[in-house]
Amino acid sequence: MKSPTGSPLPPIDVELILEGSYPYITGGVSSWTHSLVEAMPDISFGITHIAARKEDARQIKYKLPANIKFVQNIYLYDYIFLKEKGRLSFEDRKLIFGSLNKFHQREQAFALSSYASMIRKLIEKPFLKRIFHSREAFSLILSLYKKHAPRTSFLDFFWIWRFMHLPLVQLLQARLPETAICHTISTGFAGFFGCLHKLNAGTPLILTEHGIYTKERNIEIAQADWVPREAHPEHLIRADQGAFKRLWLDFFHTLGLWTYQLSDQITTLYEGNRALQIAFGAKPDKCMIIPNGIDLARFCNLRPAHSPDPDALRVGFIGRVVPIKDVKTFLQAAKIVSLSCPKASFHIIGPFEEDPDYMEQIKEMVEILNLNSKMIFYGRQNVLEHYPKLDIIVLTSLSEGQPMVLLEAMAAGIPCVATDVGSCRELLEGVEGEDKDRGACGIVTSLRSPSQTAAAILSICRNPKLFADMAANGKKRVHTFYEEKTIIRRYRDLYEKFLNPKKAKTPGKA
Amino acid sequence: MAGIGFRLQKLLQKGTYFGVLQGFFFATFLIVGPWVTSIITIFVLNHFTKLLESEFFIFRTTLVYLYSFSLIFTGFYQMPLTRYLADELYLEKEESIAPSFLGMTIIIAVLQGLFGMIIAWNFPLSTAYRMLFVGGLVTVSLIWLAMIYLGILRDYFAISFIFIVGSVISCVGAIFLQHFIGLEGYLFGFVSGQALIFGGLTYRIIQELSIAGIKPRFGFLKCFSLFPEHFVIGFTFNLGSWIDKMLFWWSPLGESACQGLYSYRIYDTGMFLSYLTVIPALALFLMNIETSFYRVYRNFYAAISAQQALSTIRHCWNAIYWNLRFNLFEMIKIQGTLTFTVYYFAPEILTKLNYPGEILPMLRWGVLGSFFQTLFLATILILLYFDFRKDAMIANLTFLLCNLTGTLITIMFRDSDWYGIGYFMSAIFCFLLAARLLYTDLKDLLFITFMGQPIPGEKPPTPPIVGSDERLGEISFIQTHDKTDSSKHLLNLK
Repeated sequence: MKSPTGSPLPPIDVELILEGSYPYITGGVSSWTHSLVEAMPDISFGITHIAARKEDARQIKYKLPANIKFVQNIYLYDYIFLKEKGRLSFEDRKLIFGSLNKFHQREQAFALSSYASMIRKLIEKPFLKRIFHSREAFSLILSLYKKHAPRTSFLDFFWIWRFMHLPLVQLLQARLPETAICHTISTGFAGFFGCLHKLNAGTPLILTEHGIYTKERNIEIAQADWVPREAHPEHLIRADQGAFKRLWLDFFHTLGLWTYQLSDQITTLYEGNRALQIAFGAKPDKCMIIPNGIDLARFCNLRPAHSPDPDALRVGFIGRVVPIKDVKTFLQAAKIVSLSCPKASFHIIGPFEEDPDYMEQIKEMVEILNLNSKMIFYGRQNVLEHYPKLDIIVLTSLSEGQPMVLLEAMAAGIPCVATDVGSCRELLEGVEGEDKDRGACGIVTSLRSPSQTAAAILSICRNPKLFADMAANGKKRVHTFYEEKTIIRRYRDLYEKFLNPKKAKTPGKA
Repeated sequence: MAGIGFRLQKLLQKGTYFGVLQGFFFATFLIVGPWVTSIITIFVLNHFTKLLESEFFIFRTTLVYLYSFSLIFTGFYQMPLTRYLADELYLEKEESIAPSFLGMTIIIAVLQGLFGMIIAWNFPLSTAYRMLFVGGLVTVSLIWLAMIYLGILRDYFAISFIFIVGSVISCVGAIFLQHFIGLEGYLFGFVSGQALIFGGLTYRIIQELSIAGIKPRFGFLKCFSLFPEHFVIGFTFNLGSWIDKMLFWWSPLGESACQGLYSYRIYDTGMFLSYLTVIPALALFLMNIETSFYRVYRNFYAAISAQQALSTIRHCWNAIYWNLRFNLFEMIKIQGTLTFTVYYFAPEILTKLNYPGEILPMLRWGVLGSFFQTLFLATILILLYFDFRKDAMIANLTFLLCNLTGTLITIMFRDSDWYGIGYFMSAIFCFLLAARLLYTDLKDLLFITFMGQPIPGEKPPTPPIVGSDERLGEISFIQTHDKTDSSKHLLNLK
């Protein structure tokens, strides 16, 4: 399963393509993947996992369900090259480099057919080492250099070019499993691998994005210090500082564009992400929203439906203690709440080992705000045990996708106060239309606004009518839109849409 | 660094692969140099001989045999060994140098001893003379070996000094001893002088590398499989330089000094005289390589590793081209003038030196031929500077084949006016070929330098290829490492 050659992989219904995720790394995407596969035992899955290096994919962290037939690993930066036998004709070279040239001029019309023949040629004749050392590749590098970074270090440019393309080479050399559907869980390298399937054999491609890959890369590259800075300012123009970063941005943008253009169906968790996908090149009619679902049975009867004791409020914060969750705003809001409600208690449930510096600052702040007796840090806990003991859930994050904690709280009938990030507003106030008319199940606040957060907490807890409405609305909303079974059903429908025509075509063989 | 001599220390302190690499090329020159000295030795001994003419003919042919066979044999290992030594020094494994010297000494002594015995077996000469022949072959071969080691250390002064003193002793010894023991004495005097040279050179090597207590080792022999081209280059160059003379010796034209010792005196003399005329060109090339060429060569690689823009790199690349062009034309101008002067006054020169007039066509073709062979040699060395091994090999092989067929054809026609034209034609043709190859390669220098860099994970083709002060060879590794590590960040681990 490791090397590109070896025993053939069994044919499967759905190939899931993941980057640095399931089954090696735990997290939101991984648990989503796990429950998706577990919920469809009749569909056979294969997993292509793309990791940076071998050491990043060492230990499988999940008990793989029986319908996962294989896990194929691709390591982007542990370069392997296949033996190159035979020859690459002049026509082959012309085809490959002609398309490569187009690939690098994104502004040109997206000529899908020429890519398809290039990709098929490259898969058929993986003479990638030869191509990498070729004269054509060098003239391509020279023209790109001239166009994008003519006054910067050529050495750096050269290596950036290589490091940009080498991972793609690894993907081109990897085996394409025999599958009815490709389902990639991000754009980027995983998406590119899906595109290879699509271009090679016309395999239907589904893209599901939890976070928007292109945007995440943009942020990351903007902050990166590993991109070489152009040296020798006396010889170079300062304004060119970002040339190399721009190259990387372009690169990921192009990769994203490929996946968006070639996907037959694109899904994401909520409206905000859908808008981003469209902005990065996805066609609106292909995009649909399938939110995360939760298992209602586990949450619905957790908390007795009564209003809280306004004097002894129990406010919960569920999440990791890291800067992106903006725990500081929560602390300040807690201070404001405790001023008018002295017996209130605040419960922070979630691991705090991840960023010790930040935790240190938080502790100091608790000290300064004199919240010692009221603020309780639990660390990593089973949240199910805590929901019954909480009156309200607060989320102060600076960035979110579709936070599970809100879904869970809603299912448990706990009103929420959340910042206006990700799908929080959709969750708490409902999607435009019928859903919205049903009413809110929480209050949305501005980012970094302790006063708004505190006011929202107090207004919900001091109004038993509002509290009861919100609890009921939340339960109802989750039940209607975010019930796990419904969600899984939607993915199954999606799969069947692409599976069935194929099954219908070859009834005799099946 | 304990136990290393002053020279080597200085070399290592400089820490430059380039410095070591230069020694490589000087080794070549240092073999050409002594060879010229040997030709002079033969002329001198010719002049002062009191032997019978037939006896001196035997002696003279013996000497030519000693030089030609030892040089051709040296061609086999000279380049691979030099490269091995350069790499070891670069990797700061100077402790492996002395054992390889001992190992090589043993190999050469055994192989050349056996070879000499096979050749000398049938000489209808005294046992003493035949033993001296074998001893002489081993000694001269070992001198070339010692030269390679000293060439790596770049101790030119010691080499020149020891060589001049040794050659003088060779001549004086031979001239002195001939009065007592005749032919054997003549050879004995000569061989003793050579043995003294070897002793002196070895002494210098021992000063640099503490050889005491070191056992010979043969691990270095793997260097032969590392660069098969080097092996071919050295061998074909030396054999190519001798093949025309040998064909004449062994053709029906050849004269027999005694059974097993053949010569064709007028051709040999013409050629040896011609070689003397190219000394200025060689000296000039040596100097230019050391100074101006080295600078532009280094600048080019320095510009790359100093992260300069492509325009700057191209500028340095142009400088290499113009420098080579300038140096070539300077060589052609200066050496050309000399060559044509000799060519024009060849009859007068022969008369002055008291040589028979029938040498004239051979001297004339020889002078022209050696002029172009020198240019050819210079081009080959530049090719090797840039590590264009394959092209250097092609050019050398072509030279060997051309000289072989060209000479065979001239011998077939039996017209002494044209003897030597085969050599001349091969030299001029191969010079043009090598120059063409160099020009094409230089035009591709950027492509070769960059695209030839191994892809990380791909087996690097060799130890660092082009070393400059700014270590281009390492760039691939350093840069690679940095960026692949950082590229890990690209893959956001969720």
